[in-house]
Amino acid sequence: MGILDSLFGRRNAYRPQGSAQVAKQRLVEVLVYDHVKLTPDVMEAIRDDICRILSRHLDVDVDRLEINILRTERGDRLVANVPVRRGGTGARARR
Amino acid sequence: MEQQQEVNGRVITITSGKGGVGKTTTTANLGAALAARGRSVVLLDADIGLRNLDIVLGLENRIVYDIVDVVEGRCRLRQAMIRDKRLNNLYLIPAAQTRDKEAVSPQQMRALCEELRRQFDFILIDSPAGIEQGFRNAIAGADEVIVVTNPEVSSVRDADRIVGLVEAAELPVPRLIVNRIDPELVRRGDMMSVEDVTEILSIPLIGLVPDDETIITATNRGEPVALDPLSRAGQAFRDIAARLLGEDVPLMVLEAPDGALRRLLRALGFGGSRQGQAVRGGGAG
Repeated sequence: MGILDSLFGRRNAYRPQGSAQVAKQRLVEVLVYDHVKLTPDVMEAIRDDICRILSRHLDVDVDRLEINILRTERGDRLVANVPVRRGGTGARARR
Repeated sequence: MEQQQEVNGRVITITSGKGGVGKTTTTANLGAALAARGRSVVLLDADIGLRNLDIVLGLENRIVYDIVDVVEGRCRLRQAMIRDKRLNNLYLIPAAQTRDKEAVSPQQMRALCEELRRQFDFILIDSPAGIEQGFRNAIAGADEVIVVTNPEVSSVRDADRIVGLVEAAELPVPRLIVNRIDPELVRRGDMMSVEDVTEILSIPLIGLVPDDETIITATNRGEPVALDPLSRAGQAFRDIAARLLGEDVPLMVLEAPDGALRRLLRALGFGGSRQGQAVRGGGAG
């Protein structure tokens, strides 16, 4: 198999992955957004709102906060990954 | 029409969202394959303004009346039905060429389908591309929907949109045909497989059709490839027709062409296992 692969140049440094897998990943991603009808603008607004609300209670690492919509067996779900800084500086500073 | 006893036919719409993925070819070939199996079939070209099913079937010279003449009462239904040259239980109702999609309403389509279902075992409707009025007309009288797609990003995305619209119209979940599969590209990892496409769309698969030059030559001649016993694509359409008749036909296994060098290497003991990668999907729905 290694011989065949090198003979036919199936994968090399410029094409580490078949384009079919790229197509599939891109489709899965775009369809999730098509389904929930969320534009990048709305996603950005949701991200900002989550940051603002959580920052009242926690020292959130805003730059590393990620929100995504994932397609799962049980339907589409919004998943937020919110990194919190240790030490709690500012966390109790609300109100 | 010779058959006078009333039947309760199935109205099946073939649609895709994107144009050019093989709706018309699929409609013509499923119709021919079902008729060859002894069922009475009428094909309804709902692509008003872009008539094509007639030329794919080689019946373009026989048109007198069309679907708009029927709904506007300029002719009786039977006058607009063109009998196929090869199969005497296959008929076509052509689209109008000089009108637009608004010439027919969903109510008129429903009434037409109800009338046809009393005379035929199968009513296959060739939908126009798009998601507008023409598509809505095409599904208005349908019992079932078949979505045709190709293994590439734009047609799969459009197919997904169609699935949503069919569900919103409270029709049963559509079944999928993945058309124009190139097994060699799939083997190289440069074309999505049938499994990939069915997984993305998550609807039941009713069949797959290999990319096959016999489609081009048959269409050039106006002959359904489903009637060519040697054509792989023709076999694929016959298999789908059999599944529509409730038969449990295994999915076609597509093999990449076996090159001379590859055969030699395999004979020498290199890389034999990679050959003939199956292109399989879920159950036949």
